[in-house]
Amino acid sequence: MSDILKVENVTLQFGGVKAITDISFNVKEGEICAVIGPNGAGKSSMLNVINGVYLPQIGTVTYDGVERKSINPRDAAIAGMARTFQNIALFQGMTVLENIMTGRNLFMKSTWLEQGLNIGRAREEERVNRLAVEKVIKFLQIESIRKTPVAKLPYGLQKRVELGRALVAEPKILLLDEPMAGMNLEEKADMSCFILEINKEQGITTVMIEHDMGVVMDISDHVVVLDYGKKIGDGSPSEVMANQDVIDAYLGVSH
Amino acid sequence: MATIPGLVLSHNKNHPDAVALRYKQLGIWNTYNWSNYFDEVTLTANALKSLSISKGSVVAVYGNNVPKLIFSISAIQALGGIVVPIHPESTGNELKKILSESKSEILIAEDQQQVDTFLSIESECDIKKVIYLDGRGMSSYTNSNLNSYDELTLKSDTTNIENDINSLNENDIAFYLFDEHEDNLYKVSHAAIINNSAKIISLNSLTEKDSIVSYLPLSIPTNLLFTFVTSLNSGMSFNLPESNQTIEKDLQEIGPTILYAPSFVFKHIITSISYRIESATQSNYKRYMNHYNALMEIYNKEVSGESSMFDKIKKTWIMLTTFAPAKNVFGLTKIKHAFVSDGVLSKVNFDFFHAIGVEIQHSFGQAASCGCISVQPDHSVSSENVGSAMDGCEIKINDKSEVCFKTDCLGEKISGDSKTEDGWINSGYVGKLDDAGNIVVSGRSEDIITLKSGKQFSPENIENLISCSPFVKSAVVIGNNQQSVSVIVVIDPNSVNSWADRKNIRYTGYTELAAKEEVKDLIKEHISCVNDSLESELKVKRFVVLHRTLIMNEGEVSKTMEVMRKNIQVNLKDVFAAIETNQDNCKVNDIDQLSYELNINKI
Repeated sequence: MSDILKVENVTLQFGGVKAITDISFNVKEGEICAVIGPNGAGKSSMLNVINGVYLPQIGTVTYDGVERKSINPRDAAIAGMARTFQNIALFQGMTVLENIMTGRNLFMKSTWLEQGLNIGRAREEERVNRLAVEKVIKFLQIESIRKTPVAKLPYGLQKRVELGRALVAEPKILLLDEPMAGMNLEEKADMSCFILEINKEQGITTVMIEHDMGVVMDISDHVVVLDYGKKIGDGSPSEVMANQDVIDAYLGVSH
Repeated sequence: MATIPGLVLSHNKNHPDAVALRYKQLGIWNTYNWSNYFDEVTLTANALKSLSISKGSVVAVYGNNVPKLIFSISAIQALGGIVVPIHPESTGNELKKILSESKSEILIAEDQQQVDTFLSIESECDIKKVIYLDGRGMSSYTNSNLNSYDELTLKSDTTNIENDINSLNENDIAFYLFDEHEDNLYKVSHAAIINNSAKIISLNSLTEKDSIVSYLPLSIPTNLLFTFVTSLNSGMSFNLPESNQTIEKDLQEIGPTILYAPSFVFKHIITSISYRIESATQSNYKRYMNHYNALMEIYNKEVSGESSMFDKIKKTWIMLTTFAPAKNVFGLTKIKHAFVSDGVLSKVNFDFFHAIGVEIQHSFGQAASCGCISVQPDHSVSSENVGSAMDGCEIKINDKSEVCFKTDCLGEKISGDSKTEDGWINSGYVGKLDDAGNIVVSGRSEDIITLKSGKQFSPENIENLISCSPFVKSAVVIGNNQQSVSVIVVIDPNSVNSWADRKNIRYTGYTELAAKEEVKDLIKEHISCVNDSLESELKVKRFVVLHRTLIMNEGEVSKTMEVMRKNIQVNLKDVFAAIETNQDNCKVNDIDQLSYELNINKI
């Protein structure tokens, strides 16, 4: 399998604070890659560098064979990168269906006037996009809350809706920022199943940040460990688990 | 030519463009007319032919009601095969028992859940092929016995199957039905179940203009009769919901004219109304309560024939402003007949439904009687009986007060004979006949409780009264060889949750909520009210609020949410022992291997 994503020597600084220091890792096509590390290790910053929200001072990101120092988040989305956020970033007043529909934004060519009057291209677009959205709704088993405003939903379901919005963009690579944070055991099991299914049956490469070690070790093919902005481990779950630096970072070590 | 596939064929000939089946997929209702329906059956039948299904082959169908499964039933029978419907939540053990006793050759499973359950027992039964309807999650399965329905039908052709259907005999076996209470399979012929449905159709004048939403699995014999066979026989449209979670919405959208459901569904409707209204604003709550009381008052006058013109106007107003919208939410607006399959609704609930214009009709029947031997007539106002014997049925009460029947639509046990020497069949329920010849069923004969004083009673009556409260999901009465009656109460998580939220009671989960003193007081108050209507010997003296709900997979409740006493007694033996030995507390070593501390409360 070829590498779909290569992160090379990336360093990211905010003023004097180094969020990420000289990190390199590769993500193979079709794998689930987990990025783990204690709080403040630079995991979310790493995702933000990958999809172009942050511009690293040093280093490059090669995605799908194209090396670039910076990418506009919209271009990243057009190139097939979709993501979810650590703190749910849904439109709270809109329904589940409407929220997921926003993920189809890239596929809509009609103008707002056409859409408002439901004429011309807008009609056909609405039909095609709604079909794509409904398929994802079925896949995530949220048919019963299709017309429910997102604000009324429990946290676990909101996370699922957010995953749905990322999925309808038909991504090649999915960036998930703590998809299981704050979930109970049952919700975690459901979410793990969805992620595995997205990966194995739809073949979408997944990069996820996750704190739950059980989940990480169970479902990922490849784990990258960050600590204080540096990479301290990289390999299969079993390799990482045996790595002394990783154990020290997680369990603490006397200095 | 009264066979199940024969009915499909004749509908296809007589009115090919009429709506046969609707199902919701990807948010849109799709329609099959009889011509499409027959085409699908033809395609499936030809696919099954290639798997050498022929006359007498036994095929199990294991899943929820989805179109492919519905087409498969007629397709199997068109080839002369016998269908064994299995509940989608059946566990490995039950599946194994049904498959081996029915000698099934092929299993049609809905999705991964059913396939996984089957694979766990694969080595212990003789299934040659499994056809799955939805392949989601199974791309990595390598078992060569698994076949996809879509691939099979893709390779299939549309060779005419009319000759196959015409060569069927109406006395051929159509279904093997599993009766959970009897733990036995029953053979049911095409003629028997179709004739039984014909009785229901003519009694209630059902026509092809009616519609029904079928959301319970067809493995429940009464459900198979009332929804699937009745809709095929009358030509009414058969509607399938999108998923188990969307039933309420789907009912609302279809607005069926016929509702068939076990009593727990009706109770669920009442519970939902009451906990929603309790969390409404103060003014709406007051209006609802005023209207409710006024409505029930008018209803009681109507029953006794004393209602005036003013009452009629008032009722119209109340319905228009309060109950018509409530009915619409649950899809009850157009309901002409609402059949209750098992037992009876409590008087309060029964009267409420009648008052808002939903004609509840109790019915009684099991697999042995093809799902039905009696059904209450339209406009019946008695909440106690389950109607009188239908045409072709005879009923008598034997010396042990058990209801025995004879019927021309008989389901015979697959092994052994269910008839007594003189041709009567014991239903397994105790009851009596009232003056008008209506059957009054009080409960299953094996459940009869004998107190120390020798007093015998059927626990179901008390359980019904207790679970009448929206806060109670189910209740299990204990009393064999006891001085007094005790009860295990299972609280309803939905309504108690919202009640607790309003009362600012903090809790983390069901177990903690059930252990709250406030909840115990709530239940205690309700049981005291129930006690007022019970005779002194049967008054409930002690109760336990259970730390969990009853689990269907452990056999504690049946597929229609009836309490299965035998299994509960085994699983909760610690609770039973503590009550029997008059303890104040009990430590339960539960089936999840954890132990819980429960209080036994006195009233």
